Amino acid sequence: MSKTTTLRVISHAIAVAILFGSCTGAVAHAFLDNATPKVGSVVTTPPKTIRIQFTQRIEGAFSHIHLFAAGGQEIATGPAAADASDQAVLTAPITGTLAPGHYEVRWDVLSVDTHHTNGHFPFSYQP
Amino acid sequence: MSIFSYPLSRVQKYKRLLESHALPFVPLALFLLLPQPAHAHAIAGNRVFPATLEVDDPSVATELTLPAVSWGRGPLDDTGNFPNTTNIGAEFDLLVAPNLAIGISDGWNSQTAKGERGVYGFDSISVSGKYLFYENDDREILMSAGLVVDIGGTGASGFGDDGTSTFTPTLYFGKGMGDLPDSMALLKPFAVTGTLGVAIAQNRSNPNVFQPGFTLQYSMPYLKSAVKDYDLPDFINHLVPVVEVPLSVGLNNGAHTWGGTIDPGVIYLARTWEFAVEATLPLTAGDQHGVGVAGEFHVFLDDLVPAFFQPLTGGI
Repeated sequence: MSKTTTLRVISHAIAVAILFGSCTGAVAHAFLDNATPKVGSVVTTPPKTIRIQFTQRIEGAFSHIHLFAAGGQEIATGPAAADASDQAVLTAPITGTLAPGHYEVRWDVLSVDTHHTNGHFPFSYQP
Repeated sequence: MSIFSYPLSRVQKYKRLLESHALPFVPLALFLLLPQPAHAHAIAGNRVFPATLEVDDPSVATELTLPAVSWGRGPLDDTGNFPNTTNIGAEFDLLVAPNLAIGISDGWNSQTAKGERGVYGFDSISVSGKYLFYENDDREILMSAGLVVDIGGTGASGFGDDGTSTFTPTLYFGKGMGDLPDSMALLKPFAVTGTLGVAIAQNRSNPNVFQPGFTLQYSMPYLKSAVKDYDLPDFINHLVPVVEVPLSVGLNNGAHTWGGTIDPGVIYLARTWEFAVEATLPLTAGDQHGVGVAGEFHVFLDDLVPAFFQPLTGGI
């Protein structure tokens, strides 16, 4: 096959691909950028809230934060909400009582582009 | 034929073509339209598997590699030279359903040696389909299966295209180590990915080739976001050191010699793109002479222009 024919085949393929892909919608992803308490940190006072900064804006109504103690029991938290001034930030108040120990924050979010991601990170409370 | 009747006649022709050829694709279309829960991209919970250069990752996504460049010195040729070999390639993958992607790739080759006439030409065009059939976010596991077809007659004969095609059914897998115990926390950013494929030659005088490949990678983004944030410089927090080991061995026709390379390198993983560079170290003298180098720029199109690229069917 000549180079010209090859390039023609490729250009047709790309054209078809673009045609197939040219629908409206989105599938972008939100990942954890930083958090408070900091990922893997040891805090000396019990945190009142969990704050997570994501790499892109999220839909607060469809995003959640849960807190678990090392034994697996869930610590009570209030509803998570996106920050009014920065939609890439999700916060949730901790309404339960923290005993000294290791904890795991589990999050799942829906980005404004409607893509779902989830993850978890640890921190410890040692007064 | 008037300016109006010509397009109408085309429409009628295409409609007849569609009606005569569409029936076999109805089951496939119904399957693609079924709701499928897993999401696209090479993501399993906390884990993002970056695109790697030689060993394809288990990702199904809309993405573009442009360019992928490699350089090395080939094995000793008949005139006593180690020819310089360069390949400049590209690959485009398109998510057509939440778990299904199709792709096309090609590359242009240059082979030159002192005192010899240079050889130039395209690789055979490769088309592929890949289906993500298993995802476990807690265990950070992804598994995909696919088929790669190198289309005979679309490349240069000087670079192995004898006019016949090669069909490579392949299993792709990725496993992150995030489920290790907390006492081994600093090992959690490790991940392995791999492929197991058999290249089946249409030309029976060519050998079928078993093509296993593995990567070992350490994700600094994972360390920061899921293990411990050490306040490292932002540049460091985007790096994924990696070692790739693409291998091959003939299964018949007397071609039972193992070949391959060991490719240490690093990937810079940004949110919508990545850049990777690796050294290529030959396993045998028949693979390559000395150290080569490979690199690529890779764009996650579904993140870069999300309004433009989305799966054709199903939910997200």
